Amino acid sequence: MEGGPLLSNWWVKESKKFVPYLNISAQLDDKPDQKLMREYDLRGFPSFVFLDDSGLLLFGREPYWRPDSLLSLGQGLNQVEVLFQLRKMVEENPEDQIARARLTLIEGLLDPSRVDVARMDAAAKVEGVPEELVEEWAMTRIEAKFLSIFEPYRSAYQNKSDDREAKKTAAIEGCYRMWVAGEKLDSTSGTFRPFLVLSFDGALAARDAFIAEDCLALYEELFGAHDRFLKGMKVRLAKMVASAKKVEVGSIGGSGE
Amino acid sequence: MQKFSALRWLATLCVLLVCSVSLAQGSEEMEKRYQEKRAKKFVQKIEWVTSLDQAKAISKQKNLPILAYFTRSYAP
Repeated sequence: MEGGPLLSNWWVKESKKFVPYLNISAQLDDKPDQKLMREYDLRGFPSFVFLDDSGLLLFGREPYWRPDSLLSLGQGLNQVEVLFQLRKMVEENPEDQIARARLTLIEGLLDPSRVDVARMDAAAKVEGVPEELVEEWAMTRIEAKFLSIFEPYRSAYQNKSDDREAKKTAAIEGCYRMWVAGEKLDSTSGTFRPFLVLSFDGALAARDAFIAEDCLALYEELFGAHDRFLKGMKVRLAKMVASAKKVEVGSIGGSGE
Repeated sequence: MQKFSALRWLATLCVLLVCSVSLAQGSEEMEKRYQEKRAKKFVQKIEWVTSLDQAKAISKQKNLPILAYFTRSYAP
């Protein structure tokens, strides 16, 4: 990059369209912004990303992007320029519902883990919003919904918060409700395993043997019969079914008196 | 016994001295590499900003995105 694209005429010309910021990791504490790569969770060299004036990462984290041609740089620029234009439009005309909805969707899609699902849903319903944005949100929605349920639980455990058990219960119930509503994460998703386990736990808590069995079968299929948690899950399901049967028998016996 | 203890003290001092000298040499080498990186042709080609705070201020003023390039000088 440094011996080629970053010396080219197109690079010099295009650099007027952005603020070029250079971060050199030097393993010297007196140099500027030495911890920034870690803050942005960037792990490889070289890394190129677009940021806004608040430092929010807009483009380029994953998959790693290199502006090594005019075309590649243009792809990144096009994405962020739309965002900048929309922000300006909304600032100048706060009543512009379409611009506002587009902005909500684009900004939300940048970080689905922090998104307000209801706000995004409302934005997606605004007439005049580009179809591809609505489709992208539809694909991301289930993942975002799961993350909004899962993240409070995960962070409570990470920080050993006092309310972690309550957060766990909320996550279990939330995932179970998603499963019942047919809002299932794609099994190729990186967060599918916790979703599946929490849904299973939720089904057990709700004494829903049908969904618990469904989750367990899928778990075994995806993670194998020798998975170290599988046996425990099977035992818990068997216990729940047995106790449900006891309750059933007890209630039949009770009605006969 | 006293002689042994003095020798041990001297050995510790030597180790500390060697460590601090090599650390100083290490950071001198890092500084040299950093300056070499900054002197590269690509850095001179356009006006790079080297502080994120400054980049944010310019971004706000000109309503332009920041293109951040993360590289390293401590290794090739």
